[in-house]
Amino acid sequence: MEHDYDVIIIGGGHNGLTSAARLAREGVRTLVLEARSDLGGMASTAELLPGVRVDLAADDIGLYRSDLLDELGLGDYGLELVESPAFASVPATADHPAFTLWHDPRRTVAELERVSKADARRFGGFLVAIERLGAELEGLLRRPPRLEDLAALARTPELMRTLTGSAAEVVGEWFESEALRGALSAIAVAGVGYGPRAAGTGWLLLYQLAGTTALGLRPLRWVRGGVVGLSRALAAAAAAHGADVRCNARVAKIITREGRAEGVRLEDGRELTSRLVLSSLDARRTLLDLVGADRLRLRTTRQLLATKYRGVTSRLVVELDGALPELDGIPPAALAGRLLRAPRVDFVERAADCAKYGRWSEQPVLEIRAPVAAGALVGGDRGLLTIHAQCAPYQLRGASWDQQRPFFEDAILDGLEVAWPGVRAQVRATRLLLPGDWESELGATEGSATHGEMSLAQSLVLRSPGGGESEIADLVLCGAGAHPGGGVTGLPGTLASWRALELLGASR
Amino acid sequence: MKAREDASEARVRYDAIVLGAGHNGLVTAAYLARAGRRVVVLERRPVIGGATLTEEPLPGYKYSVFSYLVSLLRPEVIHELDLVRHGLFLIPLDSTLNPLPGGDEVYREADPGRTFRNLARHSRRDAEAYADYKLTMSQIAHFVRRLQDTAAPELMARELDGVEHWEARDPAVAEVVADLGRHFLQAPRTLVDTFLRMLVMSASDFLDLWFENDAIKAALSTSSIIGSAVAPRSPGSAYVLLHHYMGELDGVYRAWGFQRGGTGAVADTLARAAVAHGAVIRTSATAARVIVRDGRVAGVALENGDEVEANVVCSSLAPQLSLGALIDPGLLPDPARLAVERWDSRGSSGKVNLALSGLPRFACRPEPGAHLAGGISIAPSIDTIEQAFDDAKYGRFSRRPFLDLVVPSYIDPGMAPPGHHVVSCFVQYAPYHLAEGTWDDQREAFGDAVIDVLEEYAPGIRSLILHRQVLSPLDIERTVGIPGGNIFHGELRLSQLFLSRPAAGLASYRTPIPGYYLCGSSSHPGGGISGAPGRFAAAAILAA
Repeated sequence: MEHDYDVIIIGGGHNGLTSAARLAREGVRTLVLEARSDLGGMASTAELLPGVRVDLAADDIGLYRSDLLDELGLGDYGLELVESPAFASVPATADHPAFTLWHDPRRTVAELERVSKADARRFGGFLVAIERLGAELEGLLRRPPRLEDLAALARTPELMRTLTGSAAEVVGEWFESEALRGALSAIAVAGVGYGPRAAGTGWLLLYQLAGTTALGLRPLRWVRGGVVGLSRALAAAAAAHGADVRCNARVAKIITREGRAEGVRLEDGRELTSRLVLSSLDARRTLLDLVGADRLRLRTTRQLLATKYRGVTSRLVVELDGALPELDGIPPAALAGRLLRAPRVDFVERAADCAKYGRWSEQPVLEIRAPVAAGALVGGDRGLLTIHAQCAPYQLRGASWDQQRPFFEDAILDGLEVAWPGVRAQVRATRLLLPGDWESELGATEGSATHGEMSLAQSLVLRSPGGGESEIADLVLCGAGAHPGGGVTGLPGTLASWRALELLGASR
Repeated sequence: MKAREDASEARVRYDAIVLGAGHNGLVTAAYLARAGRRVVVLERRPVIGGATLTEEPLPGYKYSVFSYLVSLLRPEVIHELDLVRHGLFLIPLDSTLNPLPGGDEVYREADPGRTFRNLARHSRRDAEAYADYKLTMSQIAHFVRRLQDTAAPELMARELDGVEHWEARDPAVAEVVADLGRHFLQAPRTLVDTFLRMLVMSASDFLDLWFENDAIKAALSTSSIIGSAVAPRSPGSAYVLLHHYMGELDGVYRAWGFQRGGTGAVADTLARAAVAHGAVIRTSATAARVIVRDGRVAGVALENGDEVEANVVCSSLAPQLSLGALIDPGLLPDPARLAVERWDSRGSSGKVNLALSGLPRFACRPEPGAHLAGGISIAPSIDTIEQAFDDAKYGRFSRRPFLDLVVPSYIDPGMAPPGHHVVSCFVQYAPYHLAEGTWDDQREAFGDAVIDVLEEYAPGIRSLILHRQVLSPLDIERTVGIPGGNIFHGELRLSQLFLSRPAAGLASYRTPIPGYYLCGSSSHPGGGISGAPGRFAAAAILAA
């Protein structure tokens, strides 16, 4: 049978396009179908306020593995990275002065000297430990998950202990300063509704710090012009090798026959055939919505329905009158990083407690970014902030987001004012994106930016039903719902492209 | 039972010394004595039993002071040590009642048909799912049983790129490891996945796979928190659920038993078995130091200055003592020493024992009946357990605690005078570390909070109270000697299980000090009155 394409990829986010760019280079006839009018998926940029283009969800691509990025030569296709010298900053409180965690450890240690001499002393050791454990973990992240790897994990006690333990424990064993513990804890639990004392958040800490070495915390990387630039460059690279990338092309169905994917049917009724279908949508949308429960084993359907998505992160875009006000103790260069409102481990823990009861956090954990100051966006001298606020559970109990939205926004702005005194008076316009908005805008089930909660119970061999391979032959998951998971890492897309090449080779 | 206190034995030479006369220490001693070794057990307290202890603070009223039920006691231990002949007498608890506000209840009985009807009142779907749930749980429990029935293998460290890796010490151990690997890899993938999820997921998410009704989920989730610093929505709590299901095998419904005479009688039984084989038990004999001479164990120095000599010493005490205070920690490799320093044995549970002038009458079942011969848990919703846990996370005892009750005197009339009763209330949460004040200040307020909750569900119980004993983790620490007061000697979490219990490289009951062994609940397979660590340790000693 003559196929229209070798591979059809559903979804033009960074993972789908990573797969496309890699497959096209290998001479695979590839088609990417994106439902929206623009590329990027969870790493999109759009006009969220009149005249203000800003990233919708993900913005930092520092987790995209450098070697994988380099292999694709995206600089030639228009990708321009802006590396931040700062990892994160913590505003002053009554207990400690403001400080910044820089990429450069010597600068960080100098800052920590003012907060805790002991922590300043231990910081170098922390980096070395994270580098070693991260290197061990990286091996697991860079290959398809196998049960055998777990046995190896069980024999590496320190890694096992870190992954299965809590972020609070890990940072508590290294550092005494509550401010530093709180900051690192907040980074670990970004995106999940668990507090830093929950078992398994150690895994998230290592996941978020991937790329950290003795030479510094992992760099934070912005994309000039907005994070969509990554997807555009990937698409351009794919196109240069002959791939078709189409927007406004919503897939209605994955066509299967006898348990095998044969192509897709678009919303407009057109059918396209291919030897393989890759989907960067999450597992539930791919298998339940596009394949259909009638084509799946009952057990798989049950497992998909039991998968936890539970988005808890919201994003507030804040446009200011005038430039950003000065921030005491934090130099302008640090604004290319992020400012954290997570003053203590307990603060982060309490914010997460709310998620358990289906309430939003009255004192949300905030990760405040300044994309214009970072040099990522062009905005003249206008102050622009994007704030990730947690927890805002997808589903509220006994209340609706329609009523609660303004109150939650108020809580975020209250927190912002504490972290950055004086800002609130300058607020001109805001736009709040809740998990429900990410679901309706970007198709992320329950607003989970990671396409499924990144708990240990849904990671590694447990990331997707059947351990990553879908039960439909010739259908491969290539998005954040597949191993190793969320974040702009390039890994799921890369692993899926390898798998696709294997399958294509076998059928040749 | 009376133990020997004989100072003249100070100079006697033994083949082996066991430290601590709790259930695991006694099991080890019994096995060693049965194999012909001359064994002495040294117990710090004037009485044996450790946490398996019956006391009569009010004459005529017997409390199972700490642990209150037996379920995990290994059948091999019962048979090999002939415990029934020595007095083991377990009375099964065959129902579980979960009273709800407003006089409602979730009641699980021995008869599956009745349980079905009881659950169907809340949710027909859940009643139907219950059989499937129990089937899955027993399949997983059978699967894991293999792990529980295997002594933790002896591994050695090798450093690779700065990270410690552990490898089998010799081909025989490698074969044990490989065998476990095959067991794991050859099982049906869905079973393996479910097992792996249970290791790391929350009990609440796990129960969501079957059930929709919150009261039913709350009732089933209580086993996921017992003795642990987790609530049903905490990742890792599903494993605690599984741990408590191990005793529920072979189709026997809720095979939790009550020992006639209280759990202290379990210790007495084990002591009788040990003594019958010639073991000597010395109470009020506090070990101060394990004597190491020429790089191997030579005996134990007591606090009173006595020395007891033996080439083998086996400690059932917590790691902070066994591998800390009692030895020169310099004898341990760095990672092991660090693991002992980090060992998490902070307790989360308390206990309130009551002597009553009559039977408690629950609002949902005011008349005496079979429910009083079973377990009774006050956990009306997942949220109430979570809220109780939130208090503890921030360093307060739960204002509205979770309670797990039994009425031993209803099952065993010997526990209290006629017409009168004793009630054992296991309580969560009671954090070892309080944010403000001390347990000595707050103990009675904690007891009051327990009685307040009880009074709500069993109106009138307050007026029946003749005596109450309130125990915090601090009291467990002081009395039983477990630092932090954790009832399992250490949290049941992945980083403290199997090869890491109590530390990587120390899991095989052996230590780097030749002749020095571990046999307590802080060794695989962990806490509960199982006798399993004691049995494995004895086997390791006898194989040496």
